[in-house]
Amino acid sequence: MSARADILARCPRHTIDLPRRPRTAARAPHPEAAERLAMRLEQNGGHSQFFSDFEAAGDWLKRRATTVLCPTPDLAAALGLPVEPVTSCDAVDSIVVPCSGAIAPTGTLVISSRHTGPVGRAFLPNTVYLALSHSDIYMRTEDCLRPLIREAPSSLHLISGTSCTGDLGLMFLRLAHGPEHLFVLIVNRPQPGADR
Amino acid sequence: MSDPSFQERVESALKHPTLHDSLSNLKRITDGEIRQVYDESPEYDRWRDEARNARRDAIANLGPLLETFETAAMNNGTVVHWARTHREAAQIAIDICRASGSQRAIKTKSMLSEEIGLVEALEAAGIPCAETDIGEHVIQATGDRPSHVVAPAVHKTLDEVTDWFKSRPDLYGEGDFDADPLQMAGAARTLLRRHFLEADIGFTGGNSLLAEEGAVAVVTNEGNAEVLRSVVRTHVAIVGIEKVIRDYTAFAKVLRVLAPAATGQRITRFTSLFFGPGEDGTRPQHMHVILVDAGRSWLALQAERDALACIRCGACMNQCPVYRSIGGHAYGGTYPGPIGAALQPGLAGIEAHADLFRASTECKRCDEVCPVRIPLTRIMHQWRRKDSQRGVRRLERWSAQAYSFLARHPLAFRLITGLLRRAAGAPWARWLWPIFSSLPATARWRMVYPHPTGGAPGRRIEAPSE
Repeated sequence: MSARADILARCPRHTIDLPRRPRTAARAPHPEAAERLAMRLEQNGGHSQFFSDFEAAGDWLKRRATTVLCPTPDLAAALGLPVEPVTSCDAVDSIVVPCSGAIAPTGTLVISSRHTGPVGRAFLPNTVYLALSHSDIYMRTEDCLRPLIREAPSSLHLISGTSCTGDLGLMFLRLAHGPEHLFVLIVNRPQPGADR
Repeated sequence: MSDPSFQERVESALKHPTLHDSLSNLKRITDGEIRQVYDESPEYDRWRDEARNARRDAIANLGPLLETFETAAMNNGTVVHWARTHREAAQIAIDICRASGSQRAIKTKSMLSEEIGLVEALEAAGIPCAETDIGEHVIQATGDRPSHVVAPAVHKTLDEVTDWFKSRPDLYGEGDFDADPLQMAGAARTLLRRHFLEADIGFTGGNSLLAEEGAVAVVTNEGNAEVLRSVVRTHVAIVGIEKVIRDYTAFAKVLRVLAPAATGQRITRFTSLFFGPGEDGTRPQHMHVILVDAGRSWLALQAERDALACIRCGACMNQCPVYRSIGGHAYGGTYPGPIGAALQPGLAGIEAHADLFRASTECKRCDEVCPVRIPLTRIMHQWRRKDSQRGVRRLERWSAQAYSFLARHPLAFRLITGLLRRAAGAPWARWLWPIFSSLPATARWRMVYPHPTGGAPGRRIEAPSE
């Protein structure tokens, strides 16, 4: 008997049935969801900037960083940056990638790696900029992940701050393996009082 | 030389000069950050119920969920392997390395890989494997063993770790590690980045297997799983079959309680769902998942199956007075603390771990803090009952029955304890003592309680109230 058949033959099947609750509709974002996201992220070592549109975010990036790579064509066009595929992974200092969603209560940013925009190397540079549209901020993890999973990514990454370790004397120390600096560029925030 | 017994390990831990200093850090975390996040989350109890239901649902439906996971993962381009035992799992890992022509491996922290002895197996096969979690790196570099499921180096004081970094300038360079522990994290990052870039193959564990999506979820604070995934050609996730969960909504429920219970964070810094190999031209080019049974399917059919619902947060050991006194190494197995006492007998046999479920004060703090509400104390009781039914501890059973009778009959209790007290003080008791204490059944008792007339302070046993 194969290992698979052997294991499956021993595994329980429906010994108890728990009712499956219907999936609830996405919870409407809190009016100050973006501010809450920014506050939580700040607590975990990240930073946020608000922009009226992608072009303004691109201008800010050009002023701030001498070289910033953007491997995603659509985002590069929106920001007015040249598309530069990441080839030498350790030589890159800053990178900007699209942020596919965010979860406000935990200050979590989600990046999705899929055929239309691989972002797998986003964890290697010291500084990572994530460009997030205000309409992609959610209040619950499930609501944020639902549309992204439908797009069949190769990976989804939920980032809730800069890399840290608690392994040395149980102290939280910044800078373990992932990015040292993390910025979220929140664009297209509706004006106060405007309908969403 | 035979391995030390549980009693010997406990004695050694209690005499350890620095263990209690390092374990006292756990109290700082549980009384500080963890309490704060509980206080700020009024919905936390409801979240615990939802997480428990998600995990119980998975354990009860292990078979169909594993089949669903396998189909979805294969559709995503992942190769799925099944291993009945640790040995089979290690062999599959070695075979994948050889088939992919991998020369150097890296791995993230994974309790299952400790269970399997993955690093040792790979190195015996000529494939060096570097740990990338900083705590695990310290453990590997110093030739030690992890002692906690979340903080593997918790038994080492900061001074001990600092001394290690200072003793190896060839690895970490010259830094002012005493004054600035952040420099140690930076030095480890620099060293480990080299390991990342030299590796062909990377091993991770998995916090959950999302059945409907065919994804492996990995949670870290350091981001090492994400960096690993960015650089290796082949990614291998070695995951216990009990980690399967219905879908991403169920996983979200588990994720919500994991970090608050483990470290007092709202959420860990990095949570990744790996669905399959990377896109064309990006890494990893291949993804494998090894599903490991090693006793889990047997345990899933036992009354103690709730132990399989564990999400490896370490909350039970952080609060356990026994763990806080003796640390993780004294338990002997991969999983220390109350969850080890509940899980290890189910995975590796009652006989091999009979001491663990007896090493409990029954204070039930572990039950109170478990984020998925595993009834750890009840499971330990069940193991004890099963152990006593094996008949190897008949004397213990008789003693318990005798005590049970006395506890229910206060007059008899007073009479017997009064007689015993008088007998212990009688001159002839000194002559009987060597005979009594040389009996195998009293050997452990003698280790703790010296002869009552031999200078030890007297102990008065109060009769239960009527």
